[in-house]
Amino acid sequence: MAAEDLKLRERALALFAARDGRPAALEYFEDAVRSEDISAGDGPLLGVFCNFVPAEVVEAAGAVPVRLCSGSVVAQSVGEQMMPRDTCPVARATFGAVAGGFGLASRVRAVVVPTSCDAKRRLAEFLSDYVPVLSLSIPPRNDYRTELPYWVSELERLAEGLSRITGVTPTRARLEAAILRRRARQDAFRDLGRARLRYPHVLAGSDLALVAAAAFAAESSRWAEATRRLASEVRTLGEARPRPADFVPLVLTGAPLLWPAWKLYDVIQSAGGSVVADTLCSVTQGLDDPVQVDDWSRAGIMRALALRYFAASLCPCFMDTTALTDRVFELVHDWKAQGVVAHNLRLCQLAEMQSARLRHILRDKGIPFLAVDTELGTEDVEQVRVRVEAFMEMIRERPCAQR
Amino acid sequence: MATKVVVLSDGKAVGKALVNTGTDPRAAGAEALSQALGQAGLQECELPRIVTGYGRVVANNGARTITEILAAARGAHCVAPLADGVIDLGGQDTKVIKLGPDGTVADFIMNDKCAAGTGRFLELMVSALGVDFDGLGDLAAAAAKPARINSTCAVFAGSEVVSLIARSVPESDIAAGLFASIASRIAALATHVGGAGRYAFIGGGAKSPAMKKALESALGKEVIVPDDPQFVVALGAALSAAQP
Repeated sequence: MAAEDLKLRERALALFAARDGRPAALEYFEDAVRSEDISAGDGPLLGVFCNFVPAEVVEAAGAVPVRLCSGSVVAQSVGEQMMPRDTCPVARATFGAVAGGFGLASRVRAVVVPTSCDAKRRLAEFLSDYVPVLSLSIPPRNDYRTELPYWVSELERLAEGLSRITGVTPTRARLEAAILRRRARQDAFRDLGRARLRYPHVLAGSDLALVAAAAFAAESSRWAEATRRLASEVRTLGEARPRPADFVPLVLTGAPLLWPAWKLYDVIQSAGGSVVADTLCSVTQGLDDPVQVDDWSRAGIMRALALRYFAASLCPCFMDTTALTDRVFELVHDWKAQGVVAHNLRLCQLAEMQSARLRHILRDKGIPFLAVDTELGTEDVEQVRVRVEAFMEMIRERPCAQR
Repeated sequence: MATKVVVLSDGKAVGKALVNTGTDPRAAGAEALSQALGQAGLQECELPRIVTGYGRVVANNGARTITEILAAARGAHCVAPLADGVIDLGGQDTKVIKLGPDGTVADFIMNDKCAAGTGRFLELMVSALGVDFDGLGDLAAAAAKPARINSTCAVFAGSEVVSLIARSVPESDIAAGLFASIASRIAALATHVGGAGRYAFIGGGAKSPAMKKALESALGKEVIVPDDPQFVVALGAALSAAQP
């Protein structure tokens, strides 16, 4: 099955690589999603999920965090042998990747599973049959005024647990070094964001997602350097290539599009749309916010980390729709987007409920909105295609003033 | 699944044909086109044409394609110019389209990807009650108290129908309940696009008086059913082909 999983990934890479005029700097990211960036010399690998596990703490404990959230249908079919079919596709796939020993999932020394949603809570139990699991209990309420002390203590517990596994204590100095290293990574991603904002037509949405998927599986400093190179290439190419007249920028929101389940990118791009910005936890959310430290004592650092990772995601499990709506409006405005597409991953009820709310809110503002209900596989690609193509037709028919 | 062709001449439909698609959309398209051209008294020639629907990808023979949503909007605007909303109950999909001025698509929504709440659902239910499609409508017309069918999944609804039969609920009430269940789903879709003042009801499902009645009851207003509602999408495609 691991070989089949690899084939699935190579097919997806080839599909998106077929686009003309892609920046050459993307090669590094393709290698990284092939698990080729990380070598044994980088230290023990530690599997993480979602965006709530502070990578700085993991790195300070001498480990390399790799995010194992999977979108592989092959892994999903392995996961299904143990998990019921009507459970979250991502939980099934992620469990399957670990149980089946796929890619980096076969190389992790332990995993940290945050209690980000109900499926993740039970996923931790399923995983514990295969690999040591540290759980990270996220405060149930998203009010940091009352929850911060608890969250700080939870991160301290994580730091202790990690040091037992790696034998390295996350000291103040190690935490500071990790924060600065990760900050270089966030700076690089922001730099890429600025280059894209100026030349949004150069890098396809799927290529930005590739950069993000590579961040799941790459050492921070090398990824940051490659991202800087890419940003510079985007600027060079952008100068040379005018934006096409029929360019239709879109904002993508909803459930994560986890590599290699990128059918929606493929369909949107084939229909002539361009995803220029997103609120996805699989792409932008995890990458652009730095840790803000005012007090560089160890306690001050832990508090800053707790604040950074407290509301680290627009995930509907924590945030109300207002937070998402504000972000979507901001992105539509900044990127001059002509429409919003929401990814409803089957069985993620909260995302689906949120997208129903979003539809009504955006309709009142006259912003075209499409919700796509789908799963990880390609069995429904024609149904998805009809909806997306009709959405593009609708946008193109709109008078210019309304776009 | 069926393949439909409309041939236009000077803005009038001069040929219409419907062929069962089976497993070969190309062959069905060619057959329907030849029938429609025959009806119009035309030879196969270089008519501008547009292919729409699920077959648009495989059976376009190099012709332009548009989606059935755009085609439905254009066709409905032509046959029901006063409508500002379109409900299309087809075999595979159900759509509600909100029209802008001049029949453009202002918003649309479709059923989720499975055939729940589509014409296909009714076709499957027909067999559960041992009648044909018209028979299902006739039964529903005689209903005293429509049964409540909660499932929209054809498989689950099938079990629900079996339970209703076992509880001696009259067939006519079950039939009416099936139409009402689809109608309430469509009405919910309509709410999601903000509703419309006047709907054109098209697609194969619109040929059923029982479906029309159930839909009007769920929407709380009358709907316009044009002649040959199952050809409206093909007409919309033909109208688009006629535009330069």
